[in-house]
Amino acid sequence: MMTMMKGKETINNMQMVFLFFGYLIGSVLIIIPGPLVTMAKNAAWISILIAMAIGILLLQVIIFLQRKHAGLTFIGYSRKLVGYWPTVAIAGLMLTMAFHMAAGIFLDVAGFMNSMMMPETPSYVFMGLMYIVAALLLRSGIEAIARIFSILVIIMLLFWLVVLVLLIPSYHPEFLRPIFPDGYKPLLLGTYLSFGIPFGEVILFALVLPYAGIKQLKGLNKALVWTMIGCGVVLMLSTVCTIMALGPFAAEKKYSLFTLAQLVEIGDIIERIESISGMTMILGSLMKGTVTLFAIQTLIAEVFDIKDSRMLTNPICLLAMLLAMTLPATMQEWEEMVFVVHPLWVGVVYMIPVLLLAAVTLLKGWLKAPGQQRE
Amino acid sequence: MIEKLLVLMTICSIALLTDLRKLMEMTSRSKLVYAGIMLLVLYASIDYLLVQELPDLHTLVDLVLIAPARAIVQALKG
Repeated sequence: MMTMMKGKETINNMQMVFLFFGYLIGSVLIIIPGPLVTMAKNAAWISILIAMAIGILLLQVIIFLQRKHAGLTFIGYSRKLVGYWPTVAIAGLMLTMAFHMAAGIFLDVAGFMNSMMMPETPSYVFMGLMYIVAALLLRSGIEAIARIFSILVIIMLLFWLVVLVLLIPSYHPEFLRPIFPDGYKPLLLGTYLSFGIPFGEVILFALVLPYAGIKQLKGLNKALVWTMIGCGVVLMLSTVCTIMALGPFAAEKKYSLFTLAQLVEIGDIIERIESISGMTMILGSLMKGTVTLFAIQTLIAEVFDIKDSRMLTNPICLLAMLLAMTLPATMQEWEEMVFVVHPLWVGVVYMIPVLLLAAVTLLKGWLKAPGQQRE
Repeated sequence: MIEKLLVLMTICSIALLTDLRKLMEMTSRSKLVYAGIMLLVLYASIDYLLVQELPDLHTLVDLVLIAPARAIVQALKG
């Protein structure tokens, strides 16, 4: 049985834009600039640019698939193209990465809160609260999620902008040079990392795209491309400002936006505003985590043909929380998993299956075309 | 151990008690999928309680992806 859109919930282009922005940028804003500068040095912003270009290409692929199979969900057109069991295999592969993401996003919040703000509080307190809020959002449905994200994205960007603007007196543009102190290889390494987090993750958004109306797709393509460019610009600005403010120490700081916020000191009035970056981290993670959990829920419900996917919200959130508490044995192992393995994992389980589906769609179109001409 | 047990009991009861009424109304297929996920929850709970490092998602990834990923990063580091 083909999985069609149930036609119950649809969201408009603007809501989709906020959803996409929240999913893509999420916690990345705080977590990525530090490691990215470690890997790519001063060329970090160029590596974001290259990874963003790859991300836009992948976005075109999932929108192409959605357009060609209008009215069907991701699992629906996958079944139509390659059959049931290959679709189950694709979904299974995607779920490995999606669960790793759903666990990791909230684990990073706990790690951040423990190391920067509240070291005495057990990590399960942060994770538990985040999963409860995410579960409540998931139970409210995609429409409610999209509406609340419109507000959260604006608040998050406002917090981010406040930190970067207040730091203007501390910037040293000369720190940005030389761009390639160690040749081009660090640039490629940075591209590898920023492809994995966040631009390669765009593929999972294919599960949310069917919630846009069929007629919206043309306008949506343009809107999502601009949103991705916006994400790239925000990430590049964060990275460039980190380098300009911290110079050679930028690579040593794990949560660079937090460190930047600590530097803000305008007279005796505005100082110690790092809690703002803590809020940015929590909001961003909540958005990214919620969309990821929504994708997991949709994927499982569609593979098993369950009508009300919200029935699965609680067990999925419970499983993701337990995975967050058990997956990494040590933080070192976790960091290797995120900064070394994650990009390859994204490539193997997200990118390859979707490219395969696009290739099959094109092939079927070409095979069909001569027949249609004869008719 | 007691702290972990309490954490586990709290999160499981929050998840299950709020689903209790819905569980009665679910179709058998939904119940089966729900039970399947709960089995994975049980496995992860044992891992969490006993700190045994039982085989998990990362064990699988370690087997398949870690070597090529390290090779890529090493090659790019020069």
